[in-house]
Order: sequence, then C-alpha cells, then structure tokens
Amino acid sequence: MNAPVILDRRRVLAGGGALIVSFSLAEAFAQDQAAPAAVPVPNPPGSLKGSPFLDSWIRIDADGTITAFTGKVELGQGFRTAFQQIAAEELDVPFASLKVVTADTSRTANEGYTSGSHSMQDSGTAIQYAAAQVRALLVAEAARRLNLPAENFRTENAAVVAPDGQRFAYGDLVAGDMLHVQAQPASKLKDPSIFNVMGQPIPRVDIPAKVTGGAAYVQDMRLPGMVHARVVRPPSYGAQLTECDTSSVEKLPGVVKVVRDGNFLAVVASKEFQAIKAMAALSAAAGISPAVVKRAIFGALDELALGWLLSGRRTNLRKTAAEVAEWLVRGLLPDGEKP
Amino acid sequence: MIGSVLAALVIGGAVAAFAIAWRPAIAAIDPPVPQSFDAALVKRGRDLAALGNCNDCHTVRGGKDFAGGLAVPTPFGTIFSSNITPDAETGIGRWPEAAFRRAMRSGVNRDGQHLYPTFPYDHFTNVNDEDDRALYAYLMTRQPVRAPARENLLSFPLDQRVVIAGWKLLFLRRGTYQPDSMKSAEWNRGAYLVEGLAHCGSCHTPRNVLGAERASAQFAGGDVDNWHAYAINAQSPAPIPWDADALFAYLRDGWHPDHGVARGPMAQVVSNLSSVPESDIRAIATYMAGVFGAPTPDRKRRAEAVLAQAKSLSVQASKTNAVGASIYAAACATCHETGRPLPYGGVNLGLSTAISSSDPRNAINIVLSGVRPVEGERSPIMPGFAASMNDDQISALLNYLRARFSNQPAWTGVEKTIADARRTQTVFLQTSPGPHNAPADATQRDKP
Amino acid sequence: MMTLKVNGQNHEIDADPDTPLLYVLRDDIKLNAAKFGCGLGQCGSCTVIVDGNAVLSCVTPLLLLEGKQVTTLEGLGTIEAPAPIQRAFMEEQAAQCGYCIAGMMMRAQALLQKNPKPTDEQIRAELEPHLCRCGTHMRILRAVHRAIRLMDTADASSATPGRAQ
Repeated sequence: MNAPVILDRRRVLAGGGALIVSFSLAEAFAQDQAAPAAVPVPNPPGSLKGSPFLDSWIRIDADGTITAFTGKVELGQGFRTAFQQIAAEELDVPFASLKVVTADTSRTANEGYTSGSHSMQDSGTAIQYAAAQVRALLVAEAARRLNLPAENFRTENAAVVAPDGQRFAYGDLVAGDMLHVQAQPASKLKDPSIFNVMGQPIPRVDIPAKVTGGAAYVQDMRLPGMVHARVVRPPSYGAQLTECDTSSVEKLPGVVKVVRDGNFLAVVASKEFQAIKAMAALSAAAGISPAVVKRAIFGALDELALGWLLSGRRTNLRKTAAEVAEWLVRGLLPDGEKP
Repeated sequence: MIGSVLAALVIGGAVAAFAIAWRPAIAAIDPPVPQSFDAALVKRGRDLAALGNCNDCHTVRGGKDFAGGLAVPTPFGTIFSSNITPDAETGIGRWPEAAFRRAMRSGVNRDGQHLYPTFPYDHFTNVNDEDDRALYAYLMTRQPVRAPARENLLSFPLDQRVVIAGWKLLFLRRGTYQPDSMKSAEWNRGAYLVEGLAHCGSCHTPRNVLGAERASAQFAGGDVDNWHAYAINAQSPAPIPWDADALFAYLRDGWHPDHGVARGPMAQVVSNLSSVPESDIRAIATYMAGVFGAPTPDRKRRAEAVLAQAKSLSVQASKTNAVGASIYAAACATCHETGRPLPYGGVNLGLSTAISSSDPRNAINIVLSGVRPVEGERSPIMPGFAASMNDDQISALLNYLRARFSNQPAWTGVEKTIADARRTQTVFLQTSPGPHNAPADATQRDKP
Repeated sequence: MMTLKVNGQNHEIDADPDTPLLYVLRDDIKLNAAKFGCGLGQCGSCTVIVDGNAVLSCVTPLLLLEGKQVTTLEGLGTIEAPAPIQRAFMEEQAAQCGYCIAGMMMRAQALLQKNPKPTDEQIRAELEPHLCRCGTHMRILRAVHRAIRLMDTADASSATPGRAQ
C-alpha cells in the first residue's frame, strides 16, 4: 500500500482496524496524528469518485459467493457480461461463478445515467480497481494470518495460495466489514498478457434467457395485486382538459379508478385490455379545448426549424411549413370545423 | 350481271377491308446513340413516362424496367406487355421516332401490325408530337434488356390482329387533344393529361362487351387486378366529396385523411405521380374537380353529418354481430378509432370510400394484405390479417364495418368475394415487395 | 371462459372474447416472450405462431383462436434444450436489447417451417413487418441463415425439438 489508509470510527470500533494498521500504520500515524477524519482519497478513478467504498462494488460472502455490483443498466450493450469478465479477471475467480447485480436503487452505487458510452469507462473502471484492491486485501489477510510477507502469495480460483501451497478460500478470508474501505487512486492491476477471460469473446450471459422467454425486462415483473393503466393523451400541443364526465367510464368492467390531475387524465383497471377499452371511452368523453395559440405556434415553429436543420436544410421547407400550419389549425379550431 | 355486281362488291369490300386493316411497315433504323438525345428532352420524357405510368404495365414485378412480360388478364384472354427498352432485337431499339409516334397515335407497331388496345392508345392518341418526341428520347436512353415478347394467350379469331382494325374503326378517335378555349390553361393541361397520358379512364371507366370504354359512362368506375376502381365522376361513393385540393394531396402523397390510402394498382400510380412537377398534378386535380362537379346540397349535408359523427366515435358493442364487433375492437379500433389523422392513425372508417362503395373487394383486399409503409417517409402502415382470420371471420368483420360505418345497404356475396380475393391477393403477397408509394428520398420531389 | 391451447397445453381463460391474445399470454398465462411494442400491429414484437402462421398477437382477439394451436417462443425450447432457431440466435449473439428478438424468431420459425431453404431476399421480405431499434438486423439475418443449416442437420437426425404446431 502506498497511500495512507483512512481510519474511520466504525472500523476502529469494529476491531477490524488491525488489518489496516498492520500494513500501513507507520505512514498513517506519521501523517494523521489527529483524530481520524474521513479525508477523501484524491481522484479515485471512474465511478469510485462517487462511491469510494470497495464493498459498493464487490461483495464476498462467507460461503464463497462473489457478487459484483454496478449502478449501470444492461440495455443490450453487453456490459453485464463485460463486468463479469473484469471482476473475474482481477479477482482471479472462475467467470461462471461470479454474479453481477445491475442498477438497483437499494443495492448498487448511484452512477447516474446509463448513456454516452460511459459505462465501461466509469463503472468498468470502478469494478476493475475495486476488484484488484479487494484481491490485494484478501492476500494481505492471508499473509497476516501466516505472518508472512504478502509478495510471495498468489491467487487462483477464488483462493489465496500461500508459498507452501496452503489454500485460503476467499469466503474464509473475509470477516465483518473487511471490504468496507475506501478505494485507493491507484491499484495493482493484472498484467494483460496473463488475462484468462478479459479480452476473450465471451457469449453474453443475458442472451439465453432472452431467446427462451426468460424474465429480462421491467415488463416481465408481475407484482401481487398489480393493476394496469392507460393515459389519455392530449390531441395537440398545449391543449387543455376542460371537463370530463368520468362516471360512465368508472362503471366499465374492471375499472379501478379514473385519475384526473389538471391536464393529466388516466384510467386504472385490473386487466390490461380493460384499461385500453376504458381509455378509448375516456378519450371520447373528455372535453378538450384547443391549444393555447402562442405556445402552439412556438412549438410548431420550433419543430419546423429543427426538422429542417436536422435534415441538412434539405427538406422542402415550404411544404413542411404548409403541413405544420395545417396541423396547427386543426388543433386550434373547435371540433368539427374544417380549416 | 348479278354475279359481276357481287364480285365487284366482294372485291370492293375486300379492298376496303384491306385498306382499313393494312398498315405499312416502317423501315428499321440502327439503334440511336443515347448521347444523341438532348438531356432536357430526356428529363421531360421521364416526367411524361411517370404520368403515363409506363413502367407499371411494361415491367414485371421484380423484373427489369420496361422489359415487358407482365400478364394482363382481359375478358378475351391474357395479353403480355411488350419490351419497350431500346434493345435492338427484342425491344424498340430499331424503331424510328415516326414508328413510336404511330404506335402512340394509332396503335400500330413498326412492322405494321395492330396492337391490342390493352395498350391504351385510345388515350395516348391525344399526346402531341413534342411529348411523343420526349417520350421516345426517354425510352431510347433506357437500359436495353434482351427479353423476347411472350405469346399472348388468345383463342381464334382474337389472336388474328386484323380483327383489331375493326375494333379501331368503331372505337378509336385518332388525333391529339384540342384545348377548350373557354377553360383555363391549367384545366386544359389537366384535360390533356387525364384524357391522354394519365389514361385514368382505362381503369375508372366501365367497358362494353367489346372491351372499349363506354363513352356515355365516363369515369363511372371500372375493375383492374381484382380491385375496384371507384367512380370518380359525380357518382363517386366517397362519403366526403372530393375537391381539387384533396385530390392534389392524395395524388402527391398517396393518402388523404378524409379519404384513405391509395392501394392496389393505384399505389404505383401515385408512386409515379409523386415525382412529376407539382403543376401537372394541380392541373389533373383541377380538371378532375370539374369531372366530379360541385357536390349537391344534399351530398354536402350528408358529408357534414359523417364528419360530425366521425369525431365522436367510441367502441360499441353490437347486439347483432358480436363477432364482428369483437374483432373490430381488438384488431382495428386501436388504430382506426384514435382520432389521430393519417398517416399516424388509421383512416376513420366512416370516411372510407372502401366501406361505402357498393363493391366490397377493395376493403377485403386491404384487410387481407394490409398497407406497406413507404421507405424513408412517414406513411400509413397496416398489418394484413390473411394469416390470423379465416373467411367467416373476415366476413363477420366486413359486415360489421359496413353496418356501422356506412349508410348503405349490406353487401351481398361477401363470402365468395373473400375466397376470390384470398386466391388472387395471396399470390401478390408472396411475390417480392411491391412498388413503393413515392421515391424513397423526399428531397427528390419537386426537383426542377 | 374459453379454452386456449398454448404450447400444447390447454388453458382456461377468463377474459372478454375481444381481448387480444398478447394480453392473455402475458397477463393470464404469464409468458414473457411475446412483447408489447406498440399494440398496433406495427412493430412485430408480439408475433406468435397460430396453426403454423406467424400472427401479430396484439391485434388478434381471443375469439379468433377457438380450436387453434398457439405456439410462443417458450414452446420451441429451453436454455437447456434449445430449438435450432434458439441455438442459432445464441451462437450468432443476435440480440442487443433483445426486445424485438422473440418476435423476429417466431416469424423466422414460421417461415422455415413452410420453406426450409429461403433465399436471403425471401427472409428479408418475410421479416419486413418487424422493427429493431438497436440495429441488430445483420446479426438476425445471419442467425436465420444459421438456423437453416441447424434445422437441416437436426432433421437429418431423429426427433426434432422446437417445431411449432
């Protein structure tokens, strides 16, 4: 370890401080004689910036189950598989034995949006560094137990192997909050020339379920007492919902509730198609006043200009303007009146 | 004495018949070099060929442009379209311009043989010399394709081309269109196109027993390819009467929110029309507005009632036709009853000519094969239901639509019409993708 | 109440006869493969096989299915025993988000059951009603071509799993 390790109250109280102190005590005391304050480590890479604790990324259970966590969402980019590769490589565990948990508001780091091709950069880096540092901690713990220098230990197959061949399974090495330490800005990463699984074209782990009808999407969640809803959309930009007689719709089979909040109008029903039919009935019953003129015109001109620019100024502006004007007028006129 | 009179009559008759039927061959030329044609002339010819819808008949679906071979069924037998690429041996490569003009004007090929009026020279005779020149220039600069003519499937005596001479005597009014000085230039341009190159009457006018258009029933409706070409005169069955603006938009885009979508053979027509100068489409619309005439006050009242009713739709159960109502609710209402206009929503069926027409064929064809979207453009789309509904179910649906969305009496013979449609349209469904509604690139429209 | 036969099993369904098949499959029988993409028959994600024909289940009401056999992707095979089409899609990694894939596969399966050796043109024409926002089209085509080869060798051996009614 090159940099000072943070001493925090929780660690000291939990008694796990011994591990940390034993290999960096001198530096820590030399630099930080005052009460242990949580001084953030400068510039941890990737999403470690926002979630510096190693156990936000890697968890090892006593039974040897290893889980990698990411705050990003698997959308078909394939990084669930890639993160599994990264964590497996840096931790030296078999690929198939490692679980990955993707974005979960109660369990994973908050990494913001999954977008901009940033997931490998932000989350992948965090997992790589966290995994490398966890591995180092596990080796250090094994070394501590045998009272030998850590350099002569190696890891393979989810175990730390001592110079004399003694194996410590990872599950046996973790104790308490051992992994609840903040990440260092630098890690000893594995040499790419000895990669087993990173850099290999591993088939995506999520595809088999997707091609056999396994649960894979939010739509596949079926919760107890779940009901279905449909929203009644305004017919034009800026339209106002004036009045709505919901009594007949409320009596339709399966309808649980009609929801109205200002311009928002929706219906909830026990079965999905009942909600769809109720929505159609509700649309017919809703009174809608035409668009507020200024907002509508602004919206229309905005879209017109944008569309023209996006086309490289190639669309027929006059024709599109005529169409937009027609659409505008249809939205503005009272029902039934022709433009 | 009697004998010699008779002989004179017979010989005189034979000479007269010969005079009527015989046409000289025009000498072949070497195929003209494409570069010898002026580019502007070729471009004009391209527009004219689009107006004339030439590639529709002269191209087999999936085949090479203008190489012919399309089978056109007629009550008299099947005629195959000819190869009009400039191929020297099997196309018109050796035709001088005069021969092309004669074919357009009089329906005679270079060898002097009469052409079957499946080639609508009864309309093309109206095309003037400059336009014939431009068309010739366009066709002679196309890709030559070697494709020998297919033998027509006709029985004796119809396979003897000489009988066409008789037909022409009765029905061909040769000569170019003469403008009406009382009407505007735009109207005259429209008349010239509609009666000439665009040959709308070829599909939209009923024919007599000899296969000629009935002059007294111009634009009163016709049939083509197992589709019904609606009446486009004052007898139009459209719930909302057509006007020039609506027709212009329909011919240009292939759909109109108050009328529906151009389908069947009309799809290729509007596909071609989308690439010609806008002014020509305006002219056609102006002329046709005169043909429809202004709607009677009664028709206007009914149209307003339909429009008002169309705005206040909701899915209704039907006591008498629960099956039809259920199918409509599940398969149709989500697109056709949203209040969204074309092309995003389905056409409001109360406005659909297909439902109001006395002939259910078009509605059946569309239900079976759906509407293919146009590449690269926002356009209507509809799934076909040939696979998910059997004939009884389609029949129940059609009867429900007719009862709910039109004020017309019920259709008869629907079951048989469905069976026929499935047979003919299924063939269509299995061939490679059909013609597009418009050029893929919207920026190609309105090009000078 | 109506009896619906799905993947060889009878189900008693308590739904209105005008309920589209998609909602019955997903909400009543709890099958995942057929998906709601548009509910309008315009995207293909809901495609299942009915009596050998590919059908858009979101616009196919229950009452049309009386006496017919419905097959969904689940009925073709499992992760442990995948059908040729499922194997092909796995081997070609033919999915990005995967939402459109079940529909694509059912349409392709219906095609291959009718025409075991379609040309590339024919496959493209057949899959035309299907949308894929991720742009996986080329892999999907390769997977269908691969399925043709896999089905060929599968038929050469004995019982073929993954054939839809």
